[in-house]
Amino acid sequence: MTDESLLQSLMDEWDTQRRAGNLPDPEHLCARAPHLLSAVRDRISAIVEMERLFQKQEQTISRDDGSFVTFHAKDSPLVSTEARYRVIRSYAQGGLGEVLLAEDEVLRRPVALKRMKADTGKRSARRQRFLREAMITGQLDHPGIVSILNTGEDASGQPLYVMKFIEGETLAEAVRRAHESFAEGTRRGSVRSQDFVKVVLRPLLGRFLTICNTVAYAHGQGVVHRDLKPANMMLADFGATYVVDWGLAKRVSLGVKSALAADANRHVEGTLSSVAETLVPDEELTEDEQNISPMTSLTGTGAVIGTPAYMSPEQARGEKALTGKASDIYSLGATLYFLVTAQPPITVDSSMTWIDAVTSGRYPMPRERQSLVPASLESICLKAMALKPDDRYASVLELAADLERWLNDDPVSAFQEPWMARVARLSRRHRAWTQAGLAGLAVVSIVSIFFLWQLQAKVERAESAELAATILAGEKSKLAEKEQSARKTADEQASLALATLRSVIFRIARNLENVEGAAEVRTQLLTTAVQGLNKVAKTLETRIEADRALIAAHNDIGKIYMFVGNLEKVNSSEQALHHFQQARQIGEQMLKETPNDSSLQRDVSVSLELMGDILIPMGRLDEADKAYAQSLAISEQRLKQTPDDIKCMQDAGFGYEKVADGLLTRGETAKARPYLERCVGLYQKIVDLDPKNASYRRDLIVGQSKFGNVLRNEERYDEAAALFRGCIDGCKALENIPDSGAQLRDRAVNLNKLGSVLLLQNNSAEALRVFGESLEISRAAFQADPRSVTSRHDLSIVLKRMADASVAGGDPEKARVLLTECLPIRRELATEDAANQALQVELAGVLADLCSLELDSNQSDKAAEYLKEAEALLKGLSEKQRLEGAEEKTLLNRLSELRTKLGG
Amino acid sequence: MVVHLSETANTQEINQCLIRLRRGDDTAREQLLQMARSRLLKMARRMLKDFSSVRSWEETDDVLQNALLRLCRTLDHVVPESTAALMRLAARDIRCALIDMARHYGGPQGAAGNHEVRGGHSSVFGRVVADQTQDPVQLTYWTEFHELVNRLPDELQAVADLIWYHGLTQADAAATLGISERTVQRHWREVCFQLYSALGGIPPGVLE
Repeated sequence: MTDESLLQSLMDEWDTQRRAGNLPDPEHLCARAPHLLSAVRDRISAIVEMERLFQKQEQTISRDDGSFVTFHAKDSPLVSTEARYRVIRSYAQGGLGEVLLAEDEVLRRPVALKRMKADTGKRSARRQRFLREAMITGQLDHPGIVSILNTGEDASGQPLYVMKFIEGETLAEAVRRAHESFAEGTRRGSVRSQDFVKVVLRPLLGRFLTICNTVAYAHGQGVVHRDLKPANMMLADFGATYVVDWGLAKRVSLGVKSALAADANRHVEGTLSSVAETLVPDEELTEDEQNISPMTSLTGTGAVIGTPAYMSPEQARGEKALTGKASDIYSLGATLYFLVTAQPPITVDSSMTWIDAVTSGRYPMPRERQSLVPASLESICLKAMALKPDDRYASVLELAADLERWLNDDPVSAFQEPWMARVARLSRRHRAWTQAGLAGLAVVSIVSIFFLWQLQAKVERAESAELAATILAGEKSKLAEKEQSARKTADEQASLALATLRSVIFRIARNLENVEGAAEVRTQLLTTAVQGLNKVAKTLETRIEADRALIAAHNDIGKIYMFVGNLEKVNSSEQALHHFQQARQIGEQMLKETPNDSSLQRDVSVSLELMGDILIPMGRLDEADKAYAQSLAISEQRLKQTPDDIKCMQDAGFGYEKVADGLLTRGETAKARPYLERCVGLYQKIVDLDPKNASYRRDLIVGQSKFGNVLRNEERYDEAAALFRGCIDGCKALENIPDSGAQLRDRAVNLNKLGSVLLLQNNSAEALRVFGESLEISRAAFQADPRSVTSRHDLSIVLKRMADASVAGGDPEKARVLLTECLPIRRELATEDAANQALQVELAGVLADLCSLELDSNQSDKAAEYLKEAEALLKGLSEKQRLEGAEEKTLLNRLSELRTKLGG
Repeated sequence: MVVHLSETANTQEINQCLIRLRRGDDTAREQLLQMARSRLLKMARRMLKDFSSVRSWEETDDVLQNALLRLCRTLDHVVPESTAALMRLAARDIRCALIDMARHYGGPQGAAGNHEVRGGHSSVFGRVVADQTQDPVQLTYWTEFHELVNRLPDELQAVADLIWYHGLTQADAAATLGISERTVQRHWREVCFQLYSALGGIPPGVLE
């Protein structure tokens, strides 16, 4: 064979392998012809580069009908139909498909490509299941569910979809590792048996709780997973936890059961109904799908979906009609069993014995497998795994609530405490009998009336006064529990309504934000949704009991209003403030009875902080400062009580930061300094305690950055610049973690600050370079999301700063170009949120700059127009509220000077 | 779901038109032009995307008109034997039109340099802009690129025409050309290697 034909043959081999998703090593390829290695390498480089060029060209081609023309990637490593994903390697193989690690060449990030294995039929069961997984996952929007970024087909018509790439370990791996490590530690004597809960269980349960909340969300959206197990739960860095593999998921009807929730639904008809229209009808297994189940041949009847060890009895029996949310709860219970014992509940060899074991509940108790498991935790596990669905927890939220109680060392509902312990707890905590009465929520009232009628009958039938008194005492206790249970149900229903509304509102706001021409529709839909929110809010006002759920509900509603923003007929700021105030009042009222309740103190502190947050954009700065100061006072008190508690430290740190922000806004740098010093000190302490936590590191960077502002204001420019550079480096380090959009933005913010300091040091050239780097980030963010308020605002800030640097550097023309780009963005922002004083002032600032530039160019007419607009803006503001900030006062003076220059 | 590629023009339909054209049916010429239009529009947009400075002063339709004029003149004298031949002619005509315009209008020495904007004039070459070309490196690169494709050996040029200029898959290109897919793969690899070597790689900025 000649060298030429051998080379051809080697390149054929290379081509074949890469189309299969592999990246063959040239050395390996040329093992039998090492003298051709160089030629092979040259060719590979050329082909890869030229194909990259070609892919790039294909990316934005569009057809006449506006849809995207795609690229058949059969002949290149790029398997995506949009030709933007470059395969790096195979990552995992499953029965249905394979997962490839790829690089998104547009956004420059790793992604996971899930591709179906070769399949002949377009309508095959495998294909349907694969597509269903994509569809269902794509419709679920939750941080615990891996988002689908794109879908398509490869060149051979096999469906594939693109997901966020998650790197981590499964819960199965984490549990095994934790138990093995503990066992090893006890053998070596480095850890004690009594540390089992602290060292093994608590960390894992924290993650498990997150999983429960994710599943609860899915149930709320009408989706059951049907294959929950430790291997389908991913634990990534920094606490990120995911439920994966929704290939067996099924949609059930939304079925919101309560009057409250249904009421809320009616008032968001335009939105929920459209959500409902997208729902897929309940899907049963097709005959084909039954045939691909691994268990069909063994059961002989029906179809079995799921993984044996974690499968519910009804699933094991193939009872499709009974397989629903309760089945998922069972699987979560079985997962919990594994978590505490490192062994699945069912471990048998013969599959028939397996089915018997599951359907009859024959498996060892968790404490038989691991004696260190606390009895109360075992009871939670067993309740979730009850044979009959009705005997399990009614919802995943209930299971999660019991787990939280266990983690907080509170009694759990699944566990029957010894009698004495129970009496002691009731006498400490029992308030319901004294407070409930017969008024209150309708549900509670009905329960009470009916129960009291029964009670009366029982007492009347009593044969002696003593017996009647005993009956009464016993029944009082039962009534209190029933009322508590009914109230809990009502709380859950209100929570569900709120959660539904929050999800709907968020979806409307986000999905329509970027749709051209949809602004009006978006506003209308949000207005309707807010009406629903009002309805839910009103029901809270009929509650006469003060409790933490009510505080949380008011705060939640306030936050939703803040998120929605001011609409035409809805002053969301006022609504938000009202609810935060309600939350605060309820909390303060409750604190009178239990002044040392730290959680309650936190609730009040959070409400005050939220009040401050909403008062600032309303321009009520004095009131905002007062709210922050009150919030901080509570946080400081809590910190004194528990100085080593990270949450307390964090809350206090936030409090110091907020107070300092207010002082800095007024230019009171000297007063702000001690607050920021304390803030940064606390953040540093927190990071020292938990250095891997990215969120804590970010808080520290933000605090240090603000301290940099203080140094700058004190004219300690070198120190300020050094601090900002440190923050920029810190941000870069955090950008390596997933979802680093916030860190990128932080870097841009710190670059802006560094640029400002450099300007103050008269180093305009370096300032321009630094602003240029920030501009790059801001532009990319803007292009990714042009309708986002944040991205537009950030872009306008850096454009303005660069313009300042250009003027300082003697390039007014460049400044004019930058400001001309900045002006329409600021006008847009100021118009969209006319109630936001800061935006009006920023717009006036740009107008003043442009006026000044035009005056210098002897363009008096243009200058006058800009000045007129700026003056009108500030006049409008000053009529509504005082212009207290340092920036506002400086601007007023500047406008006055410009007016004088213009000669009038 | 992103749609899978499928051409708007039906290959069989084109073949039927060619048969009718060979029989002297003039209506087939119109029909061919209509079918070719959709392909050419796509190609023109694709090509203009590469020539960012050309795009700044030529609307897609102007380029399309130019290419269609060329194609029409070609069809007046020649009846393509097959779809492949028609597609190759279309690719050649677009390529030539873009190279011509880029040579004429591009670069600091080009006619576009430093001219004032003239509003309202919409003839094929009538609109110029004041700015100098923004991407001299890119423009030069792409001019050379397309000229090199013009000079490729016929069998390699055929593959380049169908894959690069028409965006067909290797399988579709093989079917259109009546050769094996393996042969198309080999030709494609050779096209990439020859262009890359002749152009000395890909300059920075071109891939951005």
